[in-house]
Amino acid sequence: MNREMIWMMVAVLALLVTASVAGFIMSRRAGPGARPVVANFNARTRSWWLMVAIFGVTLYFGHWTTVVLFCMISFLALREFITLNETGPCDHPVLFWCFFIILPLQYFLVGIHWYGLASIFIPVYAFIFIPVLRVLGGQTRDFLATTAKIQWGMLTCVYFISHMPMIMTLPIRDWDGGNAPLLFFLVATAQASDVFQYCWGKMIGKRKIAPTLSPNKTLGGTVGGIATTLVLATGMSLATPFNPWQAALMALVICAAGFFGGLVMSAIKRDLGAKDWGSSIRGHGGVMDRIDSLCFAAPLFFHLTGFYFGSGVDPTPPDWIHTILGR
Amino acid sequence: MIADLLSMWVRLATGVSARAVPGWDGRPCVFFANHSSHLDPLVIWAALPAEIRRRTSPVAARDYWTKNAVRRWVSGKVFHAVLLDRIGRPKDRSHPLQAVFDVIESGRSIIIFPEGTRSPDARLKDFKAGLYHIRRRFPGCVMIPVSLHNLNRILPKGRLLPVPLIGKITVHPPLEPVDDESREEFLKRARDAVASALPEDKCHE
Repeated sequence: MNREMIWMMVAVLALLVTASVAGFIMSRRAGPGARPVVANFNARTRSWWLMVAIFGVTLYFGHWTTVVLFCMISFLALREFITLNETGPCDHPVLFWCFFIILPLQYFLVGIHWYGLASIFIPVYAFIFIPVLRVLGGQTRDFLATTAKIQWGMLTCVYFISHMPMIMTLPIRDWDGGNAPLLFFLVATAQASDVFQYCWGKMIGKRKIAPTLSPNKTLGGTVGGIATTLVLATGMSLATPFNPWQAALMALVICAAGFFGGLVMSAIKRDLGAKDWGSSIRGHGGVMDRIDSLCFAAPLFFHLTGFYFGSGVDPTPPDWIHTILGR
Repeated sequence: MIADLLSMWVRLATGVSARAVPGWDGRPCVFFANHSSHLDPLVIWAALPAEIRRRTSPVAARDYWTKNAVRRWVSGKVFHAVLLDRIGRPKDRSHPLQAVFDVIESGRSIIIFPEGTRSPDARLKDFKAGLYHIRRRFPGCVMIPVSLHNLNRILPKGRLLPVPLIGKITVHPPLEPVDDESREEFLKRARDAVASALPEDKCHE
């Protein structure tokens, strides 16, 4: 863990202290009309303390603790996803395999650095195995719809999320600062973007971007939030292999993926008639509500970083493609 | 102690928890619920607030809960289940629900499943008359309808291992006592109360 990384942790703690103090003062002064908003703000801040503590400790201990943490996050997210998506009694065996065998196996592959298999295990092997097991159950009603739901759950909740600990195993060219700062960069950018969009939205947000999908997303909130996040990301670049403008571009990709990832998960949620994925994190909803913006951002960030900064993870394309993509 | 730990684990594993029981005043209660999984008695028992849980016995199937040493120990020593035979009448020609009557008489509450058996597709079946007999015999006890969601997906009929989905419990206000109510009227009222919190497609057979 490099020195810049420690400073970033200190900055996060300072931010949390500020939020807690502000929340305390607001709860003293709030009129009856503002009370629910302040109570929600305080519940969110308290949950942030817990999440930052868990993430910080995990990063400190390194590779295997990250694998275990994200394995548990995937488990909880998949649990919320499958709970809301109706499956029949005959799907019980396939769900058992998904939760207790495929999911841990994926994280085991990440843990032992078997990148080659971890990056195709779910989209190839699990995606073939799931319909095969369902076919053995003999049920044909809604066959494709239910198979697709289970596969989509495995893809977003397990495969995409497993790219976060995979970042810890990515070899980076000319860099000796460890990989923890990269994972920190991804998580901090995506979460900061959520928080700043929420704050700017409450302050200056008027025009709704997607009123049917996500009524809290406003133009002012989104633009203000992303702009603030980009500034933050250039600051965080000190602890990463990125220079400031590279960090800003990476942050832009993370924010965009987070924005659309959030919208897509929200569309699924609305379709299922739910407001939140669950109720396990106070003030935030479920685990899925907290990590929806990371689902799409994690694999994109992993592969972009691997392509431009990694050494020999992805198979190399012909030289002319390198010239076009500017590596 | 073990009971508290077990109930905590069940609440954590299934996500089912009832913070409060509206209308509970210390009298023995009859909690009655829809039945779709062997987990149901355990889950309702675990979800109840501790002071009620300690005085509540679930009614459970004897063959399932005495099958091995672990189940026997859990049903007998931990949640003090009232075990009922699902097949045949008692040899001594006593009332089939005599064991249940004895428990209520001793001042404990019970958890019972008036459909009589687990519904394989989680659709609510018609209620058997047992609930009405309990009502007639103990006019003073509080009848509390309970609706369980998703438990049949966690452990469906005929499966051995549960999957970790999130269940939900709705504890309704007690049924109001109505004078001169016929058996059919009472059972319909009880069934409607349980059905009121279930999805539309689970309310009819």
